[in-house]
Amino acid sequence: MALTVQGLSVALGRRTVLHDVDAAFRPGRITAVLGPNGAGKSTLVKAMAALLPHRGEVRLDERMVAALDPRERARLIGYLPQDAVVHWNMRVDDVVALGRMPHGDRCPRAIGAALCLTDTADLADRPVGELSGGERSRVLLARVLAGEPRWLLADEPLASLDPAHAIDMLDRLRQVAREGMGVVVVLHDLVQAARIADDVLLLDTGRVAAFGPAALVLTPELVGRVFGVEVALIERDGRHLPVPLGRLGG
Amino acid sequence: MTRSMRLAMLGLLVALLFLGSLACGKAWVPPGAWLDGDPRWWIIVDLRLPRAVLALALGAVLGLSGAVLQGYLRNPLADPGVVGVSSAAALGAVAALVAGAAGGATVFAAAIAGAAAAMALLAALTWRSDSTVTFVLAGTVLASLAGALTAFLISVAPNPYAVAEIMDWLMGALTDRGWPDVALALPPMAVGAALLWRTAPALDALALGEVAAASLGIHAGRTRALVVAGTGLAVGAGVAATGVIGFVGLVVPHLLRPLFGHRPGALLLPSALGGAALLLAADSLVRLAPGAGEVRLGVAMAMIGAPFFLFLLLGARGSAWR
Repeated sequence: MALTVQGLSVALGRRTVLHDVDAAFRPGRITAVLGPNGAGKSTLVKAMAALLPHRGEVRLDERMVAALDPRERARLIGYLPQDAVVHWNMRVDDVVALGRMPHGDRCPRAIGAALCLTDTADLADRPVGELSGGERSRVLLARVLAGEPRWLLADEPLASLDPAHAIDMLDRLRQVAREGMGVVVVLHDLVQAARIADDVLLLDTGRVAAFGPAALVLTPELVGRVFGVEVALIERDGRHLPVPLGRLGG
Repeated sequence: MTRSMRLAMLGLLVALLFLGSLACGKAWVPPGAWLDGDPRWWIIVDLRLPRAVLALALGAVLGLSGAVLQGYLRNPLADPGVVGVSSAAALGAVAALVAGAAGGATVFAAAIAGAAAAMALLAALTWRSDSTVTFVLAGTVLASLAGALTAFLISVAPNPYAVAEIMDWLMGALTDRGWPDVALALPPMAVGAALLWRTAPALDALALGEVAAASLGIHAGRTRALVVAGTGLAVGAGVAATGVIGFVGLVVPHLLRPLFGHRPGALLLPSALGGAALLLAADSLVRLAPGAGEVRLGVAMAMIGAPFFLFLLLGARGSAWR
C-alpha cells in the first residue's frame, strides 16, 4: 500500500509552512524526513496523517487519506507524536491497549506482539509514571504498533533518548519495516538517518530539497548547503555517514 | 480484589447509604411503619424518598462530571464547581428568578443554558493550552465573573422576599425538595449523564494528548460537544434543583484513583457511584446535626472540600501531573 503526497501545502496561521510537496513513499522501507529547524518536517507527517488542514493530496494507493473515515484511517496510519507524554499515571498495558482503539478490541495477540517487539512485556503492569524516558518512549511505540497499522509516521522518536536507546529505537523501526510496514520518521541526527534510512526526504524551508535513496541524498554538498554546515563522510558497513563538523562560512 | 468486586462494593455502599438516608431525620420512623400503615410512613414517601433520590442522582452526576472534566482537560484540579460551571448555572437560574420566572422549567432551562455556555467558553479558552495555570485561571475568572453578575442581579432584584429566597437557594441544600423537583431534575440529568458516559473512549485517548487522540480516530469536535452538552444538562439541572454544591466532582475521582486506576474512562462509573455515596452520606449527616435547623449541604461540602482542594494543590507542586 503506497503512500503518495502530491502538491501538499500547509499554512499555519498566515505562514505557509509547506510548499507544494511531492513524494511517493514505499512500504517496507524507512524514509527519514530531514531538514533544519522550521523546515516543516513535523508539519509534513502531521498533514500526511490528516491531523492538519492542508491543500493538495495525500493518498493511500488510490484513496484520499483525508476522505477516509477517521477510524479506518487510524487503522491504516499510526502516528507517534513528538512529545512522549501520558497525562495520567496509567498502567503500561492500558496505554498500549489504546493502540487498539481504532479496531474497537483489545486483541491480546497484537498487544503482546507490540510489547514483545519493543521489549516492554515485563513493564506491562507498571504505572507509566514510574518509567524512565527510554522505557516510556518504547511503551509509546508499542502503543502505535499494537494498532498494526500499514504505515508508521514517527515524529522525532529519538528526541529524548541517549545514543544507545536511540540506536535501539531505530533498530526496532528497521524490524517493523522488514515485516512490511512503511515507516516515515522525522530525524535530527544525520548519522543515525544515514545509518538506518533507505530513503531520505530532505526539506528546506518548506520545500523538497531532495528525495531519493539515502546514499544519493546525504552527500556533503547537499547536506552542507541545506543545513549550512561543513560535513565529513565516514564509512561504516558500506554506508556513508555524514558528520557535521562546523558551520559553513563561520 | 478485581474491578467488578470493587464496583459491587461501591454499589452496595450506595444502596446502604440510600436506605440510611431514608431513616435519617428529626423524626424517627420505626421500620415497622413501612408495613402496618402507620401515617408516619408518608414522611418517608413524600419527604425523605424524593430527597434521597435527588441526593443519589445529584451526587452521581457531580462525580461523573468531575471525572469527565478531569479526563477531558487532562487536569486533576477540574470540577464543575472549581471551573465556574456551577456558578454560571446559578447565574442563569438567578437571572430567570429575578426576571420574574416563578420557578420550575424556566429556571431549569436557564441554569442548563448557563452551565453549557460556561463549559463551552472554558473548552474554547483552554483547549489548545496544556497548562494547568491557564485552565485554573480561566475557571477562576469565570467563577468570579458569574458570582459578581449573580450578586449584581440580586442587588437590583425588586422584591426583598425573592432576594431572601434566592440567597437561601444559592447556599445549596436538598431540604424540602419533593417529587415535582425530582420530576424536573431527573430527565435532563439522565440525558446529560448518558452524553458524558459516551466520552469514555475519547478521554482514554486524550491521555496521550489531543493530536495522538485525533490520530486514533477520535473526533475532537464531537467529544467537545458531548462534554459541553452533557455537563450543561447534568450540572445545570443539578444546580437548578439544589443550588450550588461544590467539590464532589473534585474529591471523588481523587479518592477512587488508587482503587480503580488512573485510566480516565475507567473512572466514570466508580466516580458516579462514589459521588452518590458521598452526597447521600453528607445529606444524612447534615440532617442529624443537633438543633432545629440543618447545616446547608453546600456549606458542609465546601467545608470538607476546600481544605481537600488545598491539600491537592500542595501535593501537586512538583509532581508529574503538570
